[in-house]
Amino acid sequence: MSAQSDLIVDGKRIALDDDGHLVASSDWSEAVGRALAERAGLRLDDRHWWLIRFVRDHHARYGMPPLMRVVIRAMREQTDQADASSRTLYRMFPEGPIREACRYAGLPRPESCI
Amino acid sequence: MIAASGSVAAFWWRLRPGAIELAALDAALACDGPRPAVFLQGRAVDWLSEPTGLTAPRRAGADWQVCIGSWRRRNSEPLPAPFRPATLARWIDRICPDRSDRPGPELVFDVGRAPVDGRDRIETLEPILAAASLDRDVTVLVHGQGRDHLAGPGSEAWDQLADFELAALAVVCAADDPRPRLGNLIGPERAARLRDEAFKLVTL
Repeated sequence: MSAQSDLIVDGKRIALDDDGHLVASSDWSEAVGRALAERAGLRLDDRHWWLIRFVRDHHARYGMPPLMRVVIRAMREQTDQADASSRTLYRMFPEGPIREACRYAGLPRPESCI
Repeated sequence: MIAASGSVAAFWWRLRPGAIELAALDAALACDGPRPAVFLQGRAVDWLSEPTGLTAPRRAGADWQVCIGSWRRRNSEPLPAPFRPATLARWIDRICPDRSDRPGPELVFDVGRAPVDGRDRIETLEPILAAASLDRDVTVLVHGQGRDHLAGPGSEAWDQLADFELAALAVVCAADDPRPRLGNLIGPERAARLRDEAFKLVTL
């Protein structure tokens, strides 16, 4: 692990893996999530945070990230995005909504190939 | 499992293939026509690093695909040739053409084997989730030792199927069996009907 890949948040060094995910999920806080996103040039808004929290809750409950169709349905029901679609999610996180949400949520890179 | 995909022979191996499976592949290779496709997922991927005749010259004509998630769980290095990375969703889309216009369950996954370990538990669930991600009409038929998937540590991942209506979960139980935590109870006769009526039956 190179020091270059680490993150400093509130004076604390946070170790990242080669994919930019936290080595220790327990290091996560909203400040860490924000710092990870800013490092990628992304400013998180309310919709991003909704998705990040949804993914964290799903992972805590089921041990894995949600399917995209589950996120879309929940987004339509729980937010003002009644017309949410995969396009909505990709506009938020262009490199892969679930994978990027996992990164900013302090979760491991999804192993699944779904 | 052997599946027809158009006129292409397609083989889905989740466990180490035995003599029967390899003979079936060799027979497909001996026929004129499109090259057979082989998809390796879950514990079948353990076998790739063993010295075997899998990629013997006579089998060079096969299209060898490997579930990239299963590979990454076991290896940090890239997939060696002639194997190429593939995803479950793409594979299922290939072998199970959309038949939502047809009556009866479109895709029935038959789960009758107990999980060997936590990884096997996830890798049994993943094809079901992949099919659900394609918005397919999915039924999961759990019976015998397969009911172990629905109990114990790690079984909570299966709750997604019911909680988000991703798949119909049918659990075959005899009258004196303990009631499962998840799923709708059905008898053996109903299970047999589901298998008969399935457009595609996949044994996991």
